[in-house]
Amino acid sequence: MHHLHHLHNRFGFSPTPTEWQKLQSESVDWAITKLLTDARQNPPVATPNESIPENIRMMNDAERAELFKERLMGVATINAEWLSRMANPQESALLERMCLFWHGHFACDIKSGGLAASYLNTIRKHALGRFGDLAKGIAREPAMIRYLNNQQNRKQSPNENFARELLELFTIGRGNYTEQDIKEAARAFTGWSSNFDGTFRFRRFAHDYGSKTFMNRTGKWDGDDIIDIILEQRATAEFLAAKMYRYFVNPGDDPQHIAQIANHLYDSGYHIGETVEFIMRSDWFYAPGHWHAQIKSPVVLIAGLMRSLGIQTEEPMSLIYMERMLGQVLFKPPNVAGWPGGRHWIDNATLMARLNLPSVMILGSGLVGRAKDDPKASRREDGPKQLRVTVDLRPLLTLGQADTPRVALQQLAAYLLPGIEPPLDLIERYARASSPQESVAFAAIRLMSMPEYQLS
Amino acid sequence: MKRRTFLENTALASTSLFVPSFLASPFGKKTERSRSGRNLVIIQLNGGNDGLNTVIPYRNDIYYRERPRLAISQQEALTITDELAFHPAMDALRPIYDQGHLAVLHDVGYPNPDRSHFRSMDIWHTASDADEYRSEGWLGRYLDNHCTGCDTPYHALEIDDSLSLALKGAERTGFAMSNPDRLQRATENRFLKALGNHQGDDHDHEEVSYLYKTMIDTQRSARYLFEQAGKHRNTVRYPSNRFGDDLALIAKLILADTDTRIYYAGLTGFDTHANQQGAQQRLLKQYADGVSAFVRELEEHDLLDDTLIMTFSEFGRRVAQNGSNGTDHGAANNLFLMGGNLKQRGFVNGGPDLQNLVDGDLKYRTDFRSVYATVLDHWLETDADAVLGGRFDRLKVV
Repeated sequence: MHHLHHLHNRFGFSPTPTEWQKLQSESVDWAITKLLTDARQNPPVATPNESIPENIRMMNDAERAELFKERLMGVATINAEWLSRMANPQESALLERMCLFWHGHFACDIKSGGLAASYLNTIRKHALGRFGDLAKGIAREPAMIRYLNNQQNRKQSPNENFARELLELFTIGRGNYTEQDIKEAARAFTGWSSNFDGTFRFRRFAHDYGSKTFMNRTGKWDGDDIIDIILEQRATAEFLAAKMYRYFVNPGDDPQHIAQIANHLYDSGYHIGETVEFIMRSDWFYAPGHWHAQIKSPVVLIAGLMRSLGIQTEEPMSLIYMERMLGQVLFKPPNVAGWPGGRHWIDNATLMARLNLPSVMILGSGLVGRAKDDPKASRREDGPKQLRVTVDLRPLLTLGQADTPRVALQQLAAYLLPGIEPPLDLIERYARASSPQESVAFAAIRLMSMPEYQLS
Repeated sequence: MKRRTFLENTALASTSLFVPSFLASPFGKKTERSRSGRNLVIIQLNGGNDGLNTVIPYRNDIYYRERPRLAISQQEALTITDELAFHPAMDALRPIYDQGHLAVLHDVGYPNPDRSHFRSMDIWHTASDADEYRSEGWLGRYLDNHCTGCDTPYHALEIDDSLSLALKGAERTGFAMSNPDRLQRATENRFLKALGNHQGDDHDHEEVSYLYKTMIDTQRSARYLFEQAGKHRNTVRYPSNRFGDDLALIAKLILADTDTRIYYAGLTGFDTHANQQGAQQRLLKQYADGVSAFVRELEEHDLLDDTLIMTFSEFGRRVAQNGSNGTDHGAANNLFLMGGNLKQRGFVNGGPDLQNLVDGDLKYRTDFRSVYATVLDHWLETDADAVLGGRFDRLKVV
C-alpha cells in the first residue's frame, strides 16, 4: 500500500479519502497507467479579461495604478484556479504536478493574469511532451521575455540575461559553456520580443542575422537552433535528469539512477512523459530509502490538505494567503533559479505556519495573519484575516468509521501518515470531543499537524 | 568625544561585559548600554546594487563616458569629498558620514567573479572560492564551532520569513522571524507543545529530527522574542516600508538587550537591467532613510558603539551602462560599514579604480573574506581563520 501512496505523493498529490479507498484494491501498475491516461485530458486555463489600454504613456498615475492592480488580480485568479485544479480529483494530478515542476524549473515572476495564463498553458501543453518544444515555447512566452529582459535584447545592444539563464538554469547547467557561448546565444535571441497585448513578436529589425559560433558550431543560428544545439549535448540530459531525480525521487544524488534517467531522456528525444513513466516503473523508485525523503513544498502541502479535507474556495486571496504564509506563491518564485526546496522550506516561522494550517483550515481560526488592531496590517500582508473556505469532511469521516475510536484513529493514520507510527495515545487525548464525528475530525487535524506530515 | 564613550573606550575596554550602573543613562526613557556585548547587523542588498551610482566618482571622465545616460551629474550628486559623492537619494547618510560612523570600502569582491546572482550570493554566504561549493554559511560555521556561550536558537536572527544560507551551519542555524507577534501566536497550539515534549528531537530519520528540533526550538524561543520585542517602543520614526519595519524591530530587540547578537536583514530589487534610475532611487532612499533612523535610535540609547552594521550586495554592475538604460551584472562593488566604534572612517581605500578594469568590470582590491575575517576576529573576537577555513588579511577599519 505504501508504494501507491509514494507514487501519488511524488507524481501527483496526496490522494483524496475516496481515491485512497479505491486504490486499496488496485496494483501499482494499474495506478501508473491511470495517472498517465488521466493526464491526456488537458484543458487550458482561461485567459482573464484584461483591459489593454491604447497607450500606457498617456495614462496618469492613478490609471496606471488601477491597471497594475487589475493585472495582479488577474495573476491571483490564475494562481487560485491552478491550485484548485491540483486539489480537484477530477483533474489529472500527474499533469498538475508536472506543471508545478516545470514552473519551478522555468521560474518566472509574472505580473499580469494574461501573461500567466499564456505561460501556464504553454507548460500544460508540453509538460509531458518533448522538452525541446517546451523550451522553445517558453522562450516565446512574453512573461519570460519580459522577466529576463529579452525585450531589450537587440542586435545593436544585446542583453544577455535570457541567454545566460537558458544555459545555466533551464538546460545544460554550469560548467558546460563559456562566457562567449552566452554572448553568441544572446545574439541568436535578439528580436524575440512581445507586443503590448501580451503576444509574442519577432522584431525582424532587431534580430542579428549574422553568423554565430555557439558551442563550437558556426552558422546563422536563431533561438530555436541554439536550443537544438544545446539538446544535442548529453550534458543537457544529465542536467535535467539530475533535477528530475532530486524532485521526484530523492534530494540526494544517485549517479547510477540519474544516468539511467539521462539515457532514457536522451534516447527518447527528450520525451518527458516517457521518461516519467520510466521512473514510475523502476523498482528503485519504490525503495524504502526514498519514502518520506522529501519535504513537501507549500503548494504540494496545501493541495494535499485541500484534497483530504474537501476544501474549496470562491475567494482566490484565501489560497494565495496560505501560499504566502508558507513561502511559495505561484508565479512569484524568489528568483529565476526557482524555489530551492528541501530544508529551505523550513524555518521557525514557516514550520509553525505549516503545523497550524490544518486547524486553521478546518476551524477557520485567525491563527494566520496579523491581529485586527494592528495598524500596519495592510502593509505587509494585505490578505484576508480569516480564510474563507468551505470544508467537506464527509469522505474523511467515512474513512474514520470504525467500531472503536482506536481503530478509527489507526485507519486515519494509515491514510494520512502511512509508514509512520504516530503516538496514538497522545493524539486520542487531544482529539476528545462531544461526538464521534467531531473526534475523528480532531484526530485528523492532529495527525496532519505532526511534523512527519510535512514529508512525502 | 563624550565622557561616557571615553570611559568605556579606555578604562573599561577590557571589561565591557560589565558596565557599572552609574554609566547607565540617567534619563528614565533611555535604556542602559548593552551588558552582553556587541551586536552585528548585516544588511544584504539583493540583486546586485549598482555601487557606481551609489557612491559616485563625480570627477571621473571614464564614469561619464561609459554612462552617457545613466551617470549622475555633478550637480545632482551629493558631494562628500573632492572625488566622491552620494546618490541624491542618500541624503540621510550624510550625517552618519560626518560623525565618523561610516566607512566605505571600494572594490570589494573575489577572484574569478561569478555573474550569476545565485552563485555569487552563495559565494558571499559561504565565504567560498568562486569554484568551491560549500553548504554551510560563514555565520552558520561560526555558530557551529566558534561561538561560545551562544547556544540559544536565536543567537543569530534573520528578519524574514525564511533563513539565508549565511546563517545555516551543519549543526546549528540562525532563527528566522519576520513578525514576533505572529510567531508567538503560531506556537500557542497546546497539542504541538505536548507533541514536542512527547516525541523529543532525536529520531532515526534525519528530516524528522530536523523538523522536531525546529519546532521545539521555535516553541521555546517565540515567547521570549515576543516579550523582548514588546519591552520598548521605538523612539525614532522609521520609514513606512518593510525594510523600515525590519530595522525598527531589530532596534527594539537590541534595546531590550536580547540574547541575539547577530541580526540579518535585507532589501530586494537591485537587479536593474533596464530603466535603472527610478528603481535605484526608490531603493537607495529606503535604505538610507531606514539605516539613518536605526543609527539615530541606537545613538540615542548609547548603543551605537556596541553595534557594527555591514551592508553588501552579491556583486556590483558593469561600469558601462547597457542599451536599455540599465546596467548588467558586474564584479567588485563597494561595501558599507557603520557603527560608533570604527577605527577608520570615510572612504578608507579611496574611490573605485576605473583605470584597471577587467572585461569592463571593476577589479577587486579587497577580498570580501578579509572583511569577514576582520569582523570575526576584531568584532566577534573569534578564530576567523578556523571559521573561514583559510587566512585572509585583516583590515584596520574595525
